Amino acid sequence: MNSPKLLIIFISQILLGCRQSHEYTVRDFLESKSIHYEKNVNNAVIVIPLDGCSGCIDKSIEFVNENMPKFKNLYCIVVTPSEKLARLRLGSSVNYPRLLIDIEMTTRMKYLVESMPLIYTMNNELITKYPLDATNIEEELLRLKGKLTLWQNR
Amino acid sequence: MRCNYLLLLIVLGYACQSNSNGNFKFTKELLESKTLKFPLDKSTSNTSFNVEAFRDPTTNKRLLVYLNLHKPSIIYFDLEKTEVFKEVPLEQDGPNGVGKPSRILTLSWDSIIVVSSYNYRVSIVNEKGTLLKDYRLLLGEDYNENTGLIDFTSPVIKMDNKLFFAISPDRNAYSPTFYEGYINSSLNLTTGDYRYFNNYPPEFMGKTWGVRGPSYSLTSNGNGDFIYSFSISDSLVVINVKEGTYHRYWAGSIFKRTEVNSFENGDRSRDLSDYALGSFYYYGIIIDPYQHLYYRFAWHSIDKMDYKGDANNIFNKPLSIIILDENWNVIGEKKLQDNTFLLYMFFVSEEGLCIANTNPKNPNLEDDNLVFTCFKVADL
Repeated sequence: MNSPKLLIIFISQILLGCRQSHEYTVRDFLESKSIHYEKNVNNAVIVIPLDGCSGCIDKSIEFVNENMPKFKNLYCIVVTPSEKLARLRLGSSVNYPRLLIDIEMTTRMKYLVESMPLIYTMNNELITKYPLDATNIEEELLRLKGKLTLWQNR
Repeated sequence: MRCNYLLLLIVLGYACQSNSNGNFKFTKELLESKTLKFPLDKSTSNTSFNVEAFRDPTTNKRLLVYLNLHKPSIIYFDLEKTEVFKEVPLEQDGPNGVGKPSRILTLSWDSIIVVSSYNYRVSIVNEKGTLLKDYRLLLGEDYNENTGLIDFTSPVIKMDNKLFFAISPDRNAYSPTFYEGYINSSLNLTTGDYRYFNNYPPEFMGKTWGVRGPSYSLTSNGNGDFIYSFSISDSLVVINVKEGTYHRYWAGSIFKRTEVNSFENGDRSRDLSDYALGSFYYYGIIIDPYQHLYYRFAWHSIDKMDYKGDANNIFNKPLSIIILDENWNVIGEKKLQDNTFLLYMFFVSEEGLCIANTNPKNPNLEDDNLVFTCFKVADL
């Protein structure tokens, strides 16, 4: 057996392996936490890292506190190593079964969120990401509320 | 034998290079001197933008001023006993409302300045939290593109009858015109006159530097000098507001390998996950009046992912402290333990430079304790 052939086989195996590797998604995270949701309907997940942009965090928390009780398709992941901080920031909203506190900060390590809050919408395999920042947060949250209302009334 | 000799030369050469620190001649180092641990109640978290040393004029007690954003209240910890000495309740609304507090300056128990960046307000309360005076920084249509949000991480400076604030231009940080905005404001406590002044240094102009670029730090030495540490600038800017003088003093880090590239045409969604990680930023500056020194924080660049392939984030960025003497000479630099300290929570007291161990990445994070590691300067 000559070595160039072996090398080609070895490289192609690696490339094939890379192609087949599964990208970690927000859906994987929810499922790893045994969160049950209807896969074939529209759902939205708002991910809030508590150590990021304070203005954006405040607006996202306000949105969650106001809309979590209203919309059953809305999920929330709060990213912080401190459960105490999550309770202080979100109050009684932390008790919603559709709200998760990511104490291990897996969502951040797996590239699902950085320092700004963001929204994921999910329907079956389709996952769309909407990063939020100081320039678009009000508009995007308003748009999300519109979508949630539409989905709820279907 | 020849190989051994060559190896010895290489080792000696490397050792000499490491010790020389390029052109740096360090004479001081920072050594851990003390750990301060303050117990926290159920409604107080271990992070706050406002930590500051204060000496009680009545009892002469040395205190740590800690703004609890969640109650909200101002907690005064006794620095010697590491317990709560006094807590001043704050109200956000109503007759004693101060808005959402973001920064505190304690002048006396009858004169506590509470800044609300969110509500564009400055209030004076007493130790019971009673509102004594209120200044609205913006009214009605006064909002304009020069409006600045008072920065959370720099102290409020009082000089004569004026308060001085570090501010951040309230406009899009991705616009090249952002850096034309004002970076300071002053409030005349007698007349209520509120003014904006001062700009970023020339190296910022006409470009953008990511969402972390605008952050800077300000300290004062009581002689009228305002000392600025800007994110991309190796030198400090020193402006004497009494004499109107402007100086720059080189105060760079030995850990900075390359200049920061501007963010022009950068992908905003990759700013924090890529650009900010790879950029070397400077941050906090604080005076140590006990040892006649200044400390400047440097926030090093880091790869996008760690050795396991997990994403790094800004809290993984290594930190070091540059030590300057009172004549602005760099006399030392200390790299801090990774993933331990929070770069915006620090104060100086007789204990030295104390930095909070509340980095979210710290594996020993304590929810019910506020922990600081204090460092003192020693001769090399």
